[in-house]
Amino acid sequence: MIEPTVFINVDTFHYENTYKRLCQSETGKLKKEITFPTMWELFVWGAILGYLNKCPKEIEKRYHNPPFRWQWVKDPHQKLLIIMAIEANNSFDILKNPEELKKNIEIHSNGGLDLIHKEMALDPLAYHNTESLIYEIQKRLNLNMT
Amino acid sequence: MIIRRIEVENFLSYYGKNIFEFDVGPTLVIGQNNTGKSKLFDAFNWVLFDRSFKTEGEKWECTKDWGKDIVNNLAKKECKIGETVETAVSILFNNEDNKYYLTREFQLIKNNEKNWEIPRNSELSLTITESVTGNSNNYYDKEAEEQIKTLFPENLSKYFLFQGESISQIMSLNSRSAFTKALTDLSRIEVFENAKKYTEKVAKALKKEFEDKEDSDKAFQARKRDLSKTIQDLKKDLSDQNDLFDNTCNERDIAKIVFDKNSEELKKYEECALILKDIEYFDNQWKQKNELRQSVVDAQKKEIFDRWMYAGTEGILKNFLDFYKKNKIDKKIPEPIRQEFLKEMLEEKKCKVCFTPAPIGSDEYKNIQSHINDKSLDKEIELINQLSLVADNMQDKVENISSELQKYYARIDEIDTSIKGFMNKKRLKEEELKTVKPSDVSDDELKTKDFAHLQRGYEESKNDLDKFKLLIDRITGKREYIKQQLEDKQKEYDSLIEDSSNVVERDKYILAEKINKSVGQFHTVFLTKLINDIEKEANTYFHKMTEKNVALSGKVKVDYENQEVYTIDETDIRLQNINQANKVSLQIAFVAAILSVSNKFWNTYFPFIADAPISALGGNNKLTAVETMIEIFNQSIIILKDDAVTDDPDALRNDMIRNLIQMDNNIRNSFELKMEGETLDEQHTKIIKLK
Amino acid sequence: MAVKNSEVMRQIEEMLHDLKKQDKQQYNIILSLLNEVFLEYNTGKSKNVEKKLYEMIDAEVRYRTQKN
Repeated sequence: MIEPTVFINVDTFHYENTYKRLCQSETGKLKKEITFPTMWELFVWGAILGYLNKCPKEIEKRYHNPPFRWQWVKDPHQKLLIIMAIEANNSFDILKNPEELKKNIEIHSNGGLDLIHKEMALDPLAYHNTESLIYEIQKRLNLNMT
Repeated sequence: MIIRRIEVENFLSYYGKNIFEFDVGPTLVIGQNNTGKSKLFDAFNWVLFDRSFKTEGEKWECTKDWGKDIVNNLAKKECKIGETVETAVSILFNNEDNKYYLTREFQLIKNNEKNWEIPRNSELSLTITESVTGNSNNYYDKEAEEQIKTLFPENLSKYFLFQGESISQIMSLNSRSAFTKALTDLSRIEVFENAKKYTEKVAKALKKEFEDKEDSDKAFQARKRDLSKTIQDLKKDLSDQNDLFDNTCNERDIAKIVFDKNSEELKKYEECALILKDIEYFDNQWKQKNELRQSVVDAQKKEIFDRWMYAGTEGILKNFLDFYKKNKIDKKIPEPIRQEFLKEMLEEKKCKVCFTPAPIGSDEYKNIQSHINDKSLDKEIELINQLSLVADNMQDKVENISSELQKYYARIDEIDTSIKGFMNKKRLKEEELKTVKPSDVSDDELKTKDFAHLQRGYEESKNDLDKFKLLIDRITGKREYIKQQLEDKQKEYDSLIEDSSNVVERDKYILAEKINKSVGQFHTVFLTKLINDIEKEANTYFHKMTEKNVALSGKVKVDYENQEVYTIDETDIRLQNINQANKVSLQIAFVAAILSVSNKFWNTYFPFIADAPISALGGNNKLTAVETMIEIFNQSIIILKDDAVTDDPDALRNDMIRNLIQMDNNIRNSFELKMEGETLDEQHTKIIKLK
Repeated sequence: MAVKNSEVMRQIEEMLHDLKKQDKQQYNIILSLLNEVFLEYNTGKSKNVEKKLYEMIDAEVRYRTQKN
């Protein structure tokens, strides 16, 4: 079991370029206009993308001041992340190793954030508001259908 | 009277010397906007009355006020420094057996490119040549003006120099109106006023003579004096009421002018106000829909982060659940053993799963004991079971995401359609506003226009007018009452004096009174007859026009008392909401009637020079109106806008008017005007003779 | 040329037609009066119209009285 108080690692690159852009009011946006209300929600979104696209990516440079702890990830998201990790490894054994479990989730989130970052580079309006999030979800469903 | 020629030199848009020749019958002058049509009309006004219409100020101005602007720009540009540029307009016309050549001239001296000197005001000269003898007489300035006044009465000028756009002024019959001024001339009111003055004086003098001469019967004399005094007092009262009536009528006329102006202003802007209101409404609706759209989007936020972000994970969840089930079946996931249950079994020394006794120290007891601290396995199993519940739960929810998204998009599409609808409606209204808005008012001015203030102004002026109308009614009532009293007393007096011994004085007085009364009524009777004649003539012309067009109907009524001209039906009821064609035909008929009656009095046929007389009419109606004008007037010079190059279905088409020019043999002269020149300084009118 | 008095006078005579039948005395005086007034108006010179009117009335009445 992952310790609740443990910090979740994020890549410095993504902290500076993705987290800050999509989560923080320092961008100058009004609170209601910020795409992701909290960083952990972006983390979870990234993880979902990482698991769906099977593209884990090692954290190259860990951000020195991790922005959130495991316990801040609200249920049922914690459990869903674990579910996805188990499914990816096709084994419950990962549960016996909390560090490995946490790492698995972190690298998948990192890979997912890479996808997000690439998309924003192609389309500056991607992920810029709630409506664009819905659009991403619709795209995902359309892909699933095809 | 026939105008033969007009020469226009360096006047407004005319550069150099430009000549228009005319004949008996009609001449048509056509041209697009800003080709010099109205400037030709101005030329006639300028040479005859030293006035031209300044568009910017929307009023007639004399040369003194125009200054250098009256001179053509190209002529001014070409003029060398130190030299003079001259503007002149001349008309040549015949009247009775004489030939008249009238010229007005004006000069400018160029001091430098920006500075002009005006040496003097415009100068007028007139040469009258007798056809029979060939003798000529020349007149200048004031004398020339006096001569022209007798030939072209200024009070009639708005009728024979007819400007279609000022028709409302000409149709107005109030005391200051052109019509009243024209009537004043025609009815010779001054002569009748003088005659009345004399008869009044003589009647008064003879009455005094009669009353001063003592009658032999003292009682009779006293009674005579008393009655006379009473009559005097009543006459004074009546005179006071008459003065009050006149003053109140004047005030009413002023109030009517204000009311008409406010009415026109309000009408002009009312339509705009309604459209602006619509625009505001559609704009608000558009904004509201946009806000609604945003709120619908924002409302999905919770769904997004609770469930929707897991869209697409159905496969993962299914795999997990399948994996879980398989492990469960393969018993790789043992059932969790509750610690409390284990403790119970140890206490009871019995396995509660298989009901095997487990005494202390036995293998079964030890087996139970071995699980007692295996909390981690419990926790792990507990977690795995929880995970399966969560996966199961989420799987159901994720399956619904697609249909939920569809509903969301349907709602958004609905709102978007609404937004687009309001945006389109707003745009259409904005287009409409452009066509309705007065051309001299900017969009900003229109938006800040205080419509409430306009409405208030209109209401106030209407109230004022109604107040005066009421007052006039009251005064009229009072006058009638006094008149009745006066009549009664007069009858009494007339009856009394029959017994007077001073027969000669009495008879002189009575005769003088009779004459005074007859002459007093004269002008009113004469004026009434004049107005009736005008009405009759107007009906003749109106009938001619309505004959050719079934959309037109009614008879003309000149209601001098109420100061209006309108159409009535067979039962003499005023026709309401008459169409535009009817309105313009009425106007033309009225103008023609006044000129027709004037012709008799002045013993000449005034030429009819009309600038845009029918701009308000559309298509076929225009043609009929032009044909009628051609027929009515002995000589007409009609200046028309040529709608040749527009697609406007209401325009008088190129082929229609040009056909008329070519086919109608009565039209001996016709000109087309065009504007030449690249820059504003170089632009000038070019004349093309069409016929 | 001015407004032709001939036309105005013609219309006046038309208006006075009834009076001519009813009261020739009045008719003659009024017609003379108007002629004088028009003349005075056109020439701009005083024609002593008031005095002439007075005398016309006086003469007419005295003539009538004598006749009776």
